[in-house]
Amino acid sequence: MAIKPTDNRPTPDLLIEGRHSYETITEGIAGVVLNQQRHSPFHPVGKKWTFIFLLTFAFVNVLLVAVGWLLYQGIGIWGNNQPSGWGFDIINFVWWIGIGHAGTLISAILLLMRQRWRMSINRFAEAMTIFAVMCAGMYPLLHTGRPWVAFYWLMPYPNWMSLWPQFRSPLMWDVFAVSTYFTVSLLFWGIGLVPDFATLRDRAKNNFAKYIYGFASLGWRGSARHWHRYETAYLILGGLSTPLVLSVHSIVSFDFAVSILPGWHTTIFPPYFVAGAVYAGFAMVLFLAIPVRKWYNLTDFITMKHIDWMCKIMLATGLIVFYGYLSEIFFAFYSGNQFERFMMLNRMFGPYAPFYWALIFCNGVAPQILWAPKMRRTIPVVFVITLIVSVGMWLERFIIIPVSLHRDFLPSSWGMYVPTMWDIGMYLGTIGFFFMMMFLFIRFLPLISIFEMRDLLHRDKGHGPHHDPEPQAVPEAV
Amino acid sequence: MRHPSDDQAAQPLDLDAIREKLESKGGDYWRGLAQLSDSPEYSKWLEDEFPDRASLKDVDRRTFLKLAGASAVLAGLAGCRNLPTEKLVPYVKAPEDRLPGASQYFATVMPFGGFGFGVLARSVEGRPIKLEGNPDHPDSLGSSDAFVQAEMLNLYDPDRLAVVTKDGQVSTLDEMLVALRAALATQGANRGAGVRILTETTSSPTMARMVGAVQKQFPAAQWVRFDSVSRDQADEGTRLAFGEPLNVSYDLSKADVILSLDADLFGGGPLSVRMTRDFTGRRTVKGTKVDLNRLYAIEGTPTLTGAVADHRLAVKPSEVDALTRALATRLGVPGVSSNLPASVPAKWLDALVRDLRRAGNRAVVIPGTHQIPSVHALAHAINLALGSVGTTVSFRKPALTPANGAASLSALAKDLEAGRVDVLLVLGGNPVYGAPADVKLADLLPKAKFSLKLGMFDDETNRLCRWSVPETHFLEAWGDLRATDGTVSIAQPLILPLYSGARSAIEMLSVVAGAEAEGMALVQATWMAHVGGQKGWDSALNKGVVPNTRSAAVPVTLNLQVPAPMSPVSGMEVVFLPDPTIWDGRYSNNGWMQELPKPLTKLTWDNAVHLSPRTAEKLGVNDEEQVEVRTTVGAVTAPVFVMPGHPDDVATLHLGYGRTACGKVGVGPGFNFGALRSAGAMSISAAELRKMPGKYPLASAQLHHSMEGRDILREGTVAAYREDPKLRPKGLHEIEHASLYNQTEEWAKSGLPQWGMTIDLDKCVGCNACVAACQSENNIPSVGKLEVQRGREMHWIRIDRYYRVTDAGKSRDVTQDRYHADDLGDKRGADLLDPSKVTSHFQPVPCMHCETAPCEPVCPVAATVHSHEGLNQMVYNRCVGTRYCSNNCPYKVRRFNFFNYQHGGKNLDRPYGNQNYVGEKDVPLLRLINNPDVTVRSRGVMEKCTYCVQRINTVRIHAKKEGRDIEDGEIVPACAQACPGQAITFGNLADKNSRVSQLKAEPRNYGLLAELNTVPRTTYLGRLRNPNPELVEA
Repeated sequence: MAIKPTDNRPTPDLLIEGRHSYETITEGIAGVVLNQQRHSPFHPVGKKWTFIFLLTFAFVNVLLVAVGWLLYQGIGIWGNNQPSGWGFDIINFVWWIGIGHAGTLISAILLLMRQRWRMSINRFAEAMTIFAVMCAGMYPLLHTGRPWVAFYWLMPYPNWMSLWPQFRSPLMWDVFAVSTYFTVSLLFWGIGLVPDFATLRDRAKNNFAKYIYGFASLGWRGSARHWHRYETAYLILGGLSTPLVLSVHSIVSFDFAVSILPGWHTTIFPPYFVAGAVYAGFAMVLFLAIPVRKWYNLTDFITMKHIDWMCKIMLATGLIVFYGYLSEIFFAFYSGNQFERFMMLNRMFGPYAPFYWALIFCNGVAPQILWAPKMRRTIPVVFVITLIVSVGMWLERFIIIPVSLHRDFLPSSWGMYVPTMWDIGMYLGTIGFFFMMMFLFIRFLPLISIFEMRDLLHRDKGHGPHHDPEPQAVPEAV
Repeated sequence: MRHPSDDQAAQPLDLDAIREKLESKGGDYWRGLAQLSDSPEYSKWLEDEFPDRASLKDVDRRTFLKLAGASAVLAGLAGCRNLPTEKLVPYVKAPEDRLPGASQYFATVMPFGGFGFGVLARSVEGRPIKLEGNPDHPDSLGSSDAFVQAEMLNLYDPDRLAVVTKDGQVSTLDEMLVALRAALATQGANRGAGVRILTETTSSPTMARMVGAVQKQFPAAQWVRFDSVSRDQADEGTRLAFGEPLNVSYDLSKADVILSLDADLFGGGPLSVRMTRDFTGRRTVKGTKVDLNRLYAIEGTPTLTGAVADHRLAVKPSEVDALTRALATRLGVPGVSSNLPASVPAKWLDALVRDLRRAGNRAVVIPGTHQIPSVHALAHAINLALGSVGTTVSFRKPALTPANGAASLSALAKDLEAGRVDVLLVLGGNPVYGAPADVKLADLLPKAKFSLKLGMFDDETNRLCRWSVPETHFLEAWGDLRATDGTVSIAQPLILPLYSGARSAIEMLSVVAGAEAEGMALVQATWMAHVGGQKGWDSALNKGVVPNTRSAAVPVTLNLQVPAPMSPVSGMEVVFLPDPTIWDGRYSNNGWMQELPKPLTKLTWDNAVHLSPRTAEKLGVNDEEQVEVRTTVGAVTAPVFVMPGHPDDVATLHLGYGRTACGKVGVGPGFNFGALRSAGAMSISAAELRKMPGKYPLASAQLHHSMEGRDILREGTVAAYREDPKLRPKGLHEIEHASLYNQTEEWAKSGLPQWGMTIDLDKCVGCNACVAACQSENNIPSVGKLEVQRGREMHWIRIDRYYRVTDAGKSRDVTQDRYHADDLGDKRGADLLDPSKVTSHFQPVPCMHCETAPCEPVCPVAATVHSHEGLNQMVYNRCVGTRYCSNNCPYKVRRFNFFNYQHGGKNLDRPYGNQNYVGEKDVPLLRLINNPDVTVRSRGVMEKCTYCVQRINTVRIHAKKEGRDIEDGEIVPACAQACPGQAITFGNLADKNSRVSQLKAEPRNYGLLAELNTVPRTTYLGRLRNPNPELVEA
């Protein structure tokens, strides 16, 4: 363990910056968890943590009140109406599901592609996935008129009356898509944590922490056999997750694409939704990573190179999304269908036109600044862009859902959709829940994969094969 | 604990002091010496809740337990009503026809506008739940209107008066009778000169008989009849024309050319159902055979008549007089001269005159009830000149000589002021609210020494009368009423009065006449001899009409005395009309009627100042902005609702709103424009309008008014029909439904009926009867103004109204600022500025029961599925409420229970529908109204039109029991049954000979949004207009 940093190669884009040894890496990451004094309200970092925790906890209470009132009174407390049967509920569902996608992409696809730079952000992004899916999952259930029966009537279970769900309904597919997604993400995350739990167990001084981490580490001793099985399991789960990255949001997009509503009935939706999800997900990863790496001195592990590359992914997926918007415009006019044409004109010039143009700015125009390498490495610019993209992706769902619904086929039924304080309250509540969970995660679990960082260092030192010709069965033992 | 009064109560009375007081007292009644002494101790004793509590200490344990036991037993009895002792045993021999769950129908008659409207009331286990028109009644012919449907809710209104009160304190019927008899006793000496009976206009022979009986007792007693919405001007019109007031009826079934002079033929009033039936009966289009009447509407305010008319001319109401004179001159009525108002195009009038002349005795000119008498008189003269009296117009002597309401009310006010009224009996109506503003009835009513109000609600009049007696609903009481043609119907009760103290007007009159009797005895006394004994009586009750009571048409000779022409109002004028749903306020407390969208404006829960777009612009106001309307007698500030097609410089004000008392639902909405009426100007008046600050939110059920060039409502002229019988919009690429599935063959194989519906847009006048009937039949809740504003009204069938511009026979969509954020829609586009060119079009939209329903595959729990008979079924129990079906329904006919609408709750702003009630939960009385065959939906489930599946199943069960197939026309959904225009046809599509199949074979038949391949089972027949060829540009 006492290996001193020896390699002083001056590479600007190292995945680990600074002069690090295995020990400093372990200490740097595990210390965030094990040195709980840093989280004390009187510690300069802990001050921030406490403030954010209390703030987000307050919003969790808003969430509880909003959900409680919803269950007591009914959907009527929201702004949903006739013709807009869906509003904030489904907007936020899709938005949260999208945010989760970066985690899965990073852990699964980048794993299979052997992108080593994923190692410093995957744990963090996967945690985000899980909490985002939790937030998302609340909506499909709570948006139903009768959640007390909806929670199991959508499941296909054998029953006396031979009643089955409607297998043709995309909402039914959603149940499977989202629940599978959540399960696989949770397993993937949990398995990835096992070696780190062992590290924490070994380093913990507090007996309670020792027990807890010891329990969670499932008897991990770092033997070659353990590593072998671990790697195999991880790869299998990576393989399982990969199609999920594409399928979950494709199926969510089917909620719209399968319907006959102008603005929903669009074949381009699946790819454009998946791209949008990755786009939103990376924006959220960056949005969280930027302050956290600063506060917990993790700038050596989440380097400018990571930020740069994540910005590139955002730029690429953002362009796909923007292409989606342009093709929607093209098809609206090329189709010759008066309903489609009106839908597009209504988006552009109708009562919600400011939202549409804000969407074009947020998702189409603003991210173009990331073409400039200098901008990708200017933290404040990146931070603002991630915020703009997050807003933009929310607006996209707003434009798709209520703005398509509010004026459809028969002008007699047209109406306006206006959210109520309960819509907004529940949305803010889920945001609070998400950040509260993220900050609890930062406090109690290693937010960067320790063993993978050590592995990275090992390779950076030239010990391991630099370009990963084969999956490494046995990384250096701890 | 000791109470101060424990000692005081025990103190002995000071007899000397009492004696002293006695000497100074008059002859008041007293209960005991203590009361008489009026000592402070006694008052304290009275106020103390348990004055004798000291004695409780003396009670031992055994006595206490005895008393406690006895109290518990008696407490159970105390909840009972003091009804006559009845034995409660199960039927040993069940009454014939009384089956649990099976419906019974009884014929009775509903009062409206002084006449009787024959109805069949459906009763389930002794509980009336639905009204239909009586096919044997001349004014109904089986159809009904929204008012008939709404009566059901009035019966079960929880705000109905339940007890007799005196000065607002609960009293009893007996005490009231004692007081009334005492008051009448003082009138014997002066022959009843101080007795006034104030009612609404009625045609009830028994009522007339009873008033006669009263007048026999008190020869100087006066019967004052006043209606807020009256036929006074029409009566005055016949007096001007023929020297005597006559009832006029029009037979539109014989009319080829109809001219309406500011008349609303279809929008309410006792005759409208029959007129609608007769009118649409003459609009037959079958293949190439086109036989249409032609309707010209000259109107001072937009009405359904104008919406349906082939030609419409918007003029100021005050110009109608001059226009009628011009018409009369040209049609050869002697002794009339006129100058044609500048706003009327001479070419238009000439063409109209030639058309009327051509039609001759098959033409008819109908004056508006609210128009001034000279318009009526001249219209009758024109009809005589055309020779149409006897064919399309007939006159009948009224059974009772009508009184001029406003004038007789003014006389009553004078008498009250002079202290000449001792006994005032207000039997029904609400004269304090309806009275013109210059008749200060509210101030004068308390001057009557004895005043009594018989009414169903604690309304404005009730509050000012000393005694208040609950009135029976017409479904609770015996009575009789004449139809517009004089035919008598007997009203029979379907249920005991919900409140035992309730009395009917004739029963009250029998008390006054000194011979108290039950309603049934009174009505029988009038009719038993006529019907010839019990058998005849039973048959008259069964049929709902008394035979041989139709009054004969009388020949008339013109004796025209036309007053000088009315000088046209130069500035703004206002016209007061009954509200299309609330009428004169009698349905104020009725949630169904409050929420029923007004046919032309789609406004709910309020009235407003209706202005033309140009006038609104001139005043600088738009929807929801406020104006002050000022006439000589008062001023009211109210919001504006712009109405395209409205004549310029005129404001239409609907009566019946702005109630200060009536019930929890009615107090609050709208503005009382009645406060602007004077006795001399009850319907048309000059006024000043000025903009006021502030906004008042209005709830409209439809926010967009243009079809945006979409193929939604097909309409065209007869010429266009001959060119393309499908009436397709120009340039439409119609996609024929293509399928490999041979539907007809599959239907035949299944052997099941296939339900379908057609709605003939040419026969729809937009009257709302279907919407109200559906609400009553299907237990549909009202949701309140706030929810309507949020777009959550629950009607299963709605009537869409679109504006179009029709110019010289050519019709096109209006260009609305469609991208404008329409709160209530921008109605000030250049297109909508010419009031005579704006036309309104109606399209009732129920569920289409699509064969490839978009709602079905998207429901994750399969709660909406297709039946083998083609119904798109909604399984409430299975629904979890994702609302996906509604999103995917292109017709937006699905309705979601956002709240627990059926059980009220605080989220609803004065809803009061089936069970819900302002801020209260589950009013048991309101449960009675529900149709037991229709599930009451709870919160969180979707609902929609079922094609009245409960009616389908009832008929199916009958047919099965009789071992036969269901006959064509045997199943009638509630909307089709109510429809006065017979526009809705329902039946079996698998049967090629059924009426609905034949209508679907018509070339006019088209499916709404059929290009989406939804294959709707409900289809429409395009609307035809029959413009005068002379007025159509080549």
